[in-house]
This record gives sequence, C-alpha cells and structure tokens, in this order.
Amino acid sequence: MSGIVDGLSGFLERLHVDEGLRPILSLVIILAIVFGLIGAGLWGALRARWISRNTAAFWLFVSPWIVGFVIFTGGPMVYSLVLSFMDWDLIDPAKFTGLANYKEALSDPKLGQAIKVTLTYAVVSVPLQTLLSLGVALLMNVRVRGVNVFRTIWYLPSLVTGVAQAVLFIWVFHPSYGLVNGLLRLFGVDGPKWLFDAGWALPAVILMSLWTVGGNMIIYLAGLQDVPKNLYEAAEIDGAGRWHSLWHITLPQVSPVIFFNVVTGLIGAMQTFTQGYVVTHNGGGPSDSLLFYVLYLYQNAFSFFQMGYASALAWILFAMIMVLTALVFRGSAFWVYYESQRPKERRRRVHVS
Amino acid sequence: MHRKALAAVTAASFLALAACSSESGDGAASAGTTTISYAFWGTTDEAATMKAMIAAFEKANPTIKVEPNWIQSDYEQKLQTSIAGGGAPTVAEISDTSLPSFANAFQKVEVDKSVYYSPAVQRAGTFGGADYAVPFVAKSKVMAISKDAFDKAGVAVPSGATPMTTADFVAAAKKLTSGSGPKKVYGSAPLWYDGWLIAEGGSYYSADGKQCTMGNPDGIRAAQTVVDAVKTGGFAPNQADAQGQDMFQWLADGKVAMLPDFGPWNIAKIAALDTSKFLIVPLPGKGEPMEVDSLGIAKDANEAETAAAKTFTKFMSSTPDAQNLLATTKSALGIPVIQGSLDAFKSIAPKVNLQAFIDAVKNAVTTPAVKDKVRIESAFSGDLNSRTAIGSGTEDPAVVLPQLQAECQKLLDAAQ
Repeated sequence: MSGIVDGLSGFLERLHVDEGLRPILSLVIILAIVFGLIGAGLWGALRARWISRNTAAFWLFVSPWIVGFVIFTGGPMVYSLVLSFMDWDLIDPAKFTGLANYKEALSDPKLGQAIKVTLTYAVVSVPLQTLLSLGVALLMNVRVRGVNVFRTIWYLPSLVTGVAQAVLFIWVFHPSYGLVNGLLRLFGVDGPKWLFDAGWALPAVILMSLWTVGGNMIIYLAGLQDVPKNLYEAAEIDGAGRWHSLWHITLPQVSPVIFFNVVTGLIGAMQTFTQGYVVTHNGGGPSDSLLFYVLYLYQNAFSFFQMGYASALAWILFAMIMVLTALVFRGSAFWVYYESQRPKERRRRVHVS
Repeated sequence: MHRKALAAVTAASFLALAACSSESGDGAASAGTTTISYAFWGTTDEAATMKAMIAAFEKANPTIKVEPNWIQSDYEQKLQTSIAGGGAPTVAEISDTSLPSFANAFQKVEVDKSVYYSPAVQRAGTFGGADYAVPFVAKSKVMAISKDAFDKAGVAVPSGATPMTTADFVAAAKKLTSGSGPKKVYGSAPLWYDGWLIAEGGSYYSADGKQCTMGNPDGIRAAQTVVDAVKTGGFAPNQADAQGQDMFQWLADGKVAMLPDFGPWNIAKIAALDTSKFLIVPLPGKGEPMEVDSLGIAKDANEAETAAAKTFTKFMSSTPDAQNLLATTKSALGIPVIQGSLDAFKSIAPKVNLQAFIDAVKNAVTTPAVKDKVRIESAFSGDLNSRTAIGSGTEDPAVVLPQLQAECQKLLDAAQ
C-alpha cells in the first residue's frame, strides 16, 4: 500500500503538485479508483442483467461503509489474527510460532492480574454508574422550576473525559495536595494515599468513572420521558404509590435503556485504557493494581514490542467480551421488558434453546 | 454517458498504475537536491535546537534538504511503527539504551572514533561488535547544590571535581535537613534507584550482559539508601509529596539543598538563576548512568539518501558548527561530544562549574547492551516499586532484590 502511495506521490511531484497536497491527493485518487471500479463493475453487471437497478443502487450506496470496514476494521482484524500466531518485534521479520502466544497467555501471571483488575472494575463501576445515572435521571425528570439548569450542571462533567479527566483526578486524589484529602482533613480524617496505595488505587479510579454519569443520565432521561403518562394515571387510580409506580411501571419501561447502557458500559469497561495509562504513567500502578487488560496489551505491543503476543491478547479480550455480552443478552430475558415481546415467552425461549 | 464514465475510470486506473510502476520521487535528485528525513524527540526548546542544527547543516550543504520529523512523545513506539509500516525516516535519533532493539533497522556505519574525547561515547553506537549509529550528543548526570543551604547548615561545600562518597552524601543530606511540615527543608531531592545503584558501584547486569546483578550487596545497599531517604523524618520528600512537583524549582526556592539526577535539560534553567548561589558538582560515588544519543541510517535508504545521510551524521557528530549549538542559554540538548566545542559549552554559565558535566561524560559508567531491556527493567522496576518502600510496598529490599534478580535472570536467559 505504501508503495502505491509513494508511486502516486512521485507521479504528483512530476506534475509539480504542491508537496503538502500530495498525500491527500494520493488518497483521493486511490478512493476514486476504488469507487470507480465498484461503479464500473455494478454498471457492467446491470448491463448484463445479472442484477436489478435496486440491487445495484443498494451496493453503490453501501459501498463507502464496506470499503471503510474492509480497510480500517476487517483488514486489520484479519492481520492481527495472523499476527497472533507469530513472533514479531516490528523490525525483524515475523516468525510463525503456532499457538505459542496463546500458551504463554495461559501461564502469564501479569495477564491474570490484568483480567482481575479489569473484571473488578467492570463489575463494580458499571452497576454503580447505572444506579447513579438512573437515580439522577429520576430526579432530573421531576418538573420543578430551573430543572434545566440542574440537568446542564449534571451533564457538564461529561465534557471533560479521557486524558483531561485522568489528569484532573490525579490532583483530586493527590495524598498531600489533593482536594479529597484536603476535605477529609477538615473533618480530622487522615485520608488514604489513593493512587499510591495498592488497596485504594482501583477504588479511586472507580470513583473517577462516576464523574461522567451525566452522559448516561441524558439517555435515561430520554427513556423516562417516553414512558406513557396513561400508565401512571391508571396506577394512581388503582391506588399505587410512588414506589409501586417506580417498580412496576418506570423500571420495566426503561429496562431496554438500562440494558443498552449496561451492555455498552460493560464493553467500555473491559476496554478501559486511558485511566490506567495516564494515572500510572504507563506503569500499572502500585502492585499492578491498575494494570487494566488493554493497558497490558498496549505495553506488550508498544513498550515490549511483542506484537504477536499483543495480538493474541487482543483476540482473547475479544472472546471474553463476546462471552460476557452473550451472558448479559441471555440474562436480559429475565429483566428487560419489550412491549412487543412478553418476558415469559422470551424466558421460555432461553430455556428451550 | 455511462461509456464516458467507464472510459474515465479506465483512464484513471491506467494513470495510477503508470504512476505506481514508475520510479518513486523519494529522496531522488530534484534539480540536484537530495532530500532526507530526520526523526528526533524532545521538548519544544530541544526541537528548536535540533532545527537550528539542521539549518546549519543545510547552509553548509545546500544540495541536501533535511525534513525534520519531530516526535514529541512515545518516540520509540512511533519510530518502530513507522519502520514496520515501510516509512522509516532516513536518519533517526536513537539512545544507546534503545539501540539493541533498533539495530536491525539501521545500516552498519563507519564511525571515526578519534573525534570523541570520551570512551563511553565512542562505544555508544556499537551493538554486537558492529557500529550501527553515529554518536552525537551525551547526556551525563551531575548534582546541583544550593551553596546557601550548605553555608546555613555549616556543611562544607562539596568539591566541583572530586565526587563525594555515597556515605558522605547521606551524612551531608541529613545535616542539611531541617524544619517540619510545609516549611521543611530537605537535604536532597528523592534518589532515583537506577542511578543510585550505579553510584553505589552496582549495576543491572554483569559486564558481558549475561547475568542480572541488581540483587548483589551494592544493589541492596542502594535500595536501602533510597528507602531510608524517604522514611518519616528522612532527608528527601517521599513519592507522594514529590509527585507532580518540579524539583528544580524546589532547589531554586531553597526547599531542597541538593538535586542529584541533574541532567543537561536543566542547564538553561540554572543559567537563568543567580549562578553565584548554586554549584554543579559530580554525583556521589560512581555517578549515574549516562545516555548517549546517536544517529542511525535506515536500512532501506537508497544510494543517494545514504550518501546524504552520511554527510548529515558526520556534520552533526563531528563539526563545531553543529556541536556548538547543542547547548545554549535558551536550551541544552546535551553535552558536546567533541573537544573543540567544550569551551563554548562551559561559557553558557561560567560560574556554576559546567566542567562537572564534561567530567561525567569522560568518566561515565556504561551499562551493557541487552536485548529485551525495556521489558526486563519494566518488570523489575514495577515489582521493586510495588514490594518495597522505594514505591508503595513495605517489604525489605534485602529479601526482595535477590528474588527479583532471579526473575530478571529468567527473562534475560529467554531473551538471549
């Protein structure tokens, strides 16, 4: 690929095209050729009456996504799968090693620690985020004067995420100069060392994850506002109190939204990287207490230059996320309510299969 | 219409294929000019220094154009991925510690070792008995002290030429420590274990690079000193207190009396202070390991690029025009590696004894080149920090270090 780009770049140089424009023009030319070939192929198939106009239109319109997927997702995935059976340091030629990387993973104590840290984080932070964001959404759904101001205040922290959030919390949790221990000192409490203490580092990062509940709150709020009012009116006539309405109407009605947030939250938590990387300076924290799975994968790929092993770790993570997501999907039959499907029927289907 | 479109696509395809099959313009002579790319790391000021050196080269060699590729962070990761992706820079800056991992990406080069005044610099571009890179800058370490603090504590100011013993350093640091709470003055900034290991006469590996040796008595003594320094009532701020703090500023503000691990990047900063109040002295004991950065030429560079790259590396490593620019009052990339530029270097801050940096280059202890060094030392350092009070642990270094040495040996054997 780089040979083609280099060739095009040289060609544009001979046409005296400005140096800064050559890379982007090379890409445009390649894309034009790819889509031109797709268009020409479809046109030929249409002329030969192999496909209908509708089918040709479908493939034409879907082709940008397919090309993007093949180049930027599917291709690299296949490549990483191949690499997972190789030993490659990026400089010397790759050597085929069969299942050696997967065998190494089975006996790697650091990988065990990384899985433990990541699963603990996912299992604790996702339910906490769900409870907090749903609770806040319920409060923000109350019609009182100025509620929009409160909604904005709750949402604002979600705009400070990633590296900025991690850097901010390094200072918030600083044992000597941090905000948290400063507040605790006002009450005569000598706070823990947080990110410097193997026992407190992960809880600190879990607390950090609650900073962005405003994003999920907005989704819950939208779900809550979609709950039909007539259900509450009917419940009120039947004598249901607030608690019964919440338990029997609100939660079942927003359960698909909770399900969505839990699934995406779980997948996101399993892929946690930035917090671990920034907070520990790519180290893993005290006693590897913040050695998240993806951080360890990154270290193997880009610090230890074991690209084959890192690829194997990526595929193991992919399998783990698939299994966890499948379990959550299976479990959803017992608690997610869809108006178009009765939970009992779905539960029966789970048991039958 | 359709026919025209098809014809246009076909024409574009042939055009692109023709472009691909024809010779690339990379580095090729354009009106007699050869273009090479040069990758390097550094801060904004250091990049400005490097660009000034490039400008001096282009002025002296108008037929060669150097495209700077300043990589601000994660240099080695980005360099390695660019090599893997077939886009290796023609010339890349590389440290002596990273050379073993990158040697196979570079051409073998001829290095004129007679231009260097330091034996450590002469060896810096060598791996496996062959030269793969041309050394051009040394980054030796010294210690900065506050003369005021020594005078106030009644402690004799250390010699600018002869290193203190490590025991004398500890004794002085204790005497220089005073006060408590926010007003506490520390005798020293925190000690860096890897550096103190060398100061105490130890090392990570044996001279042949085949044995891990950090669990020897020297290593244990070094770890014990680092731990004792940050104990309650110790002479250095602990990890939590020092985190995110600029220790140079603490020295300038009188909060620490000695700043070991003082590298060239601080030269411009100390030159800007009242230089009569500060002094640079050699690090205690055997000093700290020195980094030497060299220039490697990409294996896949063509003939013209290789010739231009050789001219460039020679200019950067052996001419006063380039070497005099390495350190100025605005920014210091490192210490010149040729004798002819040392007077210019010392003139940046004549009162603070920059000669100590030069002595450290001459007397530097070099560590053997080891493959998989980053992985081995990362594992060691992580465990040492987790288990002992050098980091967040509580275990006795005398127990931990021999165990970690055994772990290190396993990884070293696997790498070899």
